[in-house]
Amino acid sequence: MRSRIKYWFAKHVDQKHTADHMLFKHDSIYVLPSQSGLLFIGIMLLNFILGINYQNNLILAVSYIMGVLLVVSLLSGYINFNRLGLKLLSVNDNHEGVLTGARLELESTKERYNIIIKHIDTGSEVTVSEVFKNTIAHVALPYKRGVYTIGRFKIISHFPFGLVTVWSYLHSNKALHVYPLPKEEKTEIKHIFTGADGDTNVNDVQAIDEFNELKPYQQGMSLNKVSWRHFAKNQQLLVKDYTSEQPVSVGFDFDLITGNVEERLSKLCFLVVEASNNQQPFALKLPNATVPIGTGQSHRVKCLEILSEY
Amino acid sequence: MNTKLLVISFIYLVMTVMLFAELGIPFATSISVLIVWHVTQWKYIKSAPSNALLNIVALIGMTVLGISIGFSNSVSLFVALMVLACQLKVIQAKNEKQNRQIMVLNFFTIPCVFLFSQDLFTTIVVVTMLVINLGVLAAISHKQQLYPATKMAVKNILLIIPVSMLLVVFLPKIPSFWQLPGAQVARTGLSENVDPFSISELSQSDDLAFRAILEEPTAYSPPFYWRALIHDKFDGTSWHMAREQNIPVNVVNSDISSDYKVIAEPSNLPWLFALGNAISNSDEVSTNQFGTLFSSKVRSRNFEYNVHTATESSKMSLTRWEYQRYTQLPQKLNPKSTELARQWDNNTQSTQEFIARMRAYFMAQGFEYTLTPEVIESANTIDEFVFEKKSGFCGHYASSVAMMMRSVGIPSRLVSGYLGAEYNEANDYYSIYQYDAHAWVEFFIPNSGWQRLDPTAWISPERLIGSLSQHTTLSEQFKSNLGISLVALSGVPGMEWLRLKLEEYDYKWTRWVLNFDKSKQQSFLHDLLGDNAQFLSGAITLFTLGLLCLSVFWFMQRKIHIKRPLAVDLYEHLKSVSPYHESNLTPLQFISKVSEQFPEHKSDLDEFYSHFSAARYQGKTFSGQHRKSTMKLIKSIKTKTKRKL
Repeated sequence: MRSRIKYWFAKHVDQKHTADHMLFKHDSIYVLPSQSGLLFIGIMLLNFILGINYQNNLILAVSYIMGVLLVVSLLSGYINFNRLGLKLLSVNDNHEGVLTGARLELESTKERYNIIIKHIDTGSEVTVSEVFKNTIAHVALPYKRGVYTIGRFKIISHFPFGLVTVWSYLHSNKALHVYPLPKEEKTEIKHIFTGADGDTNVNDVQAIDEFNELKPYQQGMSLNKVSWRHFAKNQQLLVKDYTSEQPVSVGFDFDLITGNVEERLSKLCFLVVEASNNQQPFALKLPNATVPIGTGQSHRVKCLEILSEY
Repeated sequence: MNTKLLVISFIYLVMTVMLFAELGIPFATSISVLIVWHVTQWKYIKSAPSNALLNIVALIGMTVLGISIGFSNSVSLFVALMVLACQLKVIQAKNEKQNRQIMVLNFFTIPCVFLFSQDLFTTIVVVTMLVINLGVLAAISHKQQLYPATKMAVKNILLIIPVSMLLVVFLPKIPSFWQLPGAQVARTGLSENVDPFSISELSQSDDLAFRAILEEPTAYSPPFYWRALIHDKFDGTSWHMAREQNIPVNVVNSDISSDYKVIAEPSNLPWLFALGNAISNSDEVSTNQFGTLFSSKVRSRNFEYNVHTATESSKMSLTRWEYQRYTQLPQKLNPKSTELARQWDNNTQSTQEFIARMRAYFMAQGFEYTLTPEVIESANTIDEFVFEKKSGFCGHYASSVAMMMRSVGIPSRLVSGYLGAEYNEANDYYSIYQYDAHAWVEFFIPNSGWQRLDPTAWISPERLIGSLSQHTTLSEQFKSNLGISLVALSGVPGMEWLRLKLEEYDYKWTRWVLNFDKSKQQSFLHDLLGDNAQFLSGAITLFTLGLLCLSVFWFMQRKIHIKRPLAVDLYEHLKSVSPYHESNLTPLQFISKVSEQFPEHKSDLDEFYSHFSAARYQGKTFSGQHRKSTMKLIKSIKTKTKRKL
């Protein structure tokens, strides 16, 4: 029975709270007495019994005060929460153990107190004691290497007095990539394949420069390629343009690296990071996927994602 | 250790002070030591002590309290242990959850004070402590500062108290379903043995003993002799309480209307107070054969009962053993007094004459009334008093007279109770204080029954009128015996007024809050709502509660509406009636445009603008007169604009 209710509730939450932006309203806010609240109710009953048996109106009044206080707490706890917005701004992919996390924005036009954002899978939480306007919170998600669906955030408040728990959920399907932690790899690897057609080893460096045309010099172009001959002649800065110019390209292959799976991935990660920092084109080959040779930020991210997905 | 918990320790300190009289010095010392320990630990060590140490301290504390309070006094012991446990928990608390538990538990611990005392002052203190406790709870659970959290708690409680009061009034009262042991309260009061000769200074207390509401004041007139206890056995030094004092007798009386009500303060004795021969129709109140009332249990809270004066006088004759009992005297004591009484008896024909002789003797011999008599140590106490000391208080005179009457065979007994009453005109009731305690004599005349005789009145007739506090010649002695209290300060202007005011509030509190029981609730609701009272009161409670929840909800949900300053309002109004109501002009541009349009209003418009800018930019107020003239301006511009269109 209990598990069925739980299952039903989980399904209900998934249906209702799956979004990257939630505005909490009466149909998505849950209010119950907290643990302290239950003790409080117990003491209220105790006072009631005591007040009746001693026919002591003052103790009875204390018990009524406690009862009404609890009701007021439920109400003001709800109001503290009502129309609070929560938006998942972004997910920070990063290396394992580094700041992987999610940036969330609490949207509010009035002051609210004691808002706790808790990530259910990892159990990490952030407490915002006072919200006056839109506030950005960063929830760390300390996952191991891999790809994860972010899943549920639970937003809790114990305001006021900690006697009630008001909560709601934000269920996100966004994926979080946790890359392997780079591990230094000394051995030179120059195994390269090109294209999607297979394992063509292109160990030899392609250094055939074919002159194409002269372009006017622009700020930021390498001075190496300036045609000084033209400059000497007519004081004009022109740059020589070559076709099929490519720097040294390298390829990283999972199978050629030593160690267990995680070690290999870490080493590959190091190589990928190094290569992209040096703006060196590279390709990556894993047993289940290959990334053709490339360069640039998106290439780097693609490779890192493949490494975390493995 | 959490600094906020120091406040909780302070709350326990206040509780200790308030329960000092009931729980005693060992309790106060233990808690104070623990509080000092807490503060030191917090200041110098900054972490909680080990559990082993705390357990040892707890054991020691429990032993001390168990021995000093005693296991028979279960309620006091329970409360003492509760405070001890809470204080230890405060020292031990390691995390936030434990801190919260302490605060929630305090909602039980703090109201325990009400078991011992329910007066207005106690209530204010307890409610204040609860509010502070709630503030600390909020501060700890939201990691807030103490001050804003307490402010929030105060706001909430102020909202809640009227609602709770409503609940107390309208929710049906349930009778108690278990008999719980009552708390023992420490109160000065009547003693069951009257021993005047060993007292050197009559300790006076200005505590209230009880209050009386005489519904037919004409039926009773001062002096008010409130009978409480009968003493029928004299052992040479003290008079002992009659054994039948707590044995109920069944008095058949068809007329059970109540003549007056008495509201007794908490006491550790079951004896109640009434004028003359009394019967009561209140629950748990019985009459004994002496016509005095007693309660079937000792009460730690105020208790209201009805009294009816028995119409027919009690017994007209005494049985043989009763006669013996009321003429019993210790053998061979007080020969001189006995001899003196015998002489009077020989020269008189009736009891009345005997009393007249006695009265004449006491009045001629220069006896004095004093609250600070000398201690009489000889075995012949009454001889020494009558022939040597000649100064004493009511107990001395009553003892002497009763003993002398007994010695000549007149059945007599000592009665202790209270004499006098302080009348409160505003609320039509009488207050009787502990310092009004009195003792007098009753003697028996065949076919007439028991008669009252107050020998103190011969010596100090003033004592019969009103309360002892109004006694002029004794006022100095009286005040010095009282110590520091409002009655003692009654010479200071304003103090008497203050005392009577406080007394009045306390009376109302006692009558309407503390003694609001089932029957009072029913009659109140009946007066208010008529025949369907019970149904209607339930409906009203539910309706009000619902309404209240809704209104709180709407109030908190409301959009915060910022009130615009008057100057801006008028400006907007002017703009809306003018032809330029849709333009985006600055106020200055707008005014100049309008004055172009209506040149005849130029001066008025300029004046308005000067006031407007003074109000907006210089922080001056926009006066009512300016408002009037502006309204006029707006009106004429409105009509003119309309005409143009």
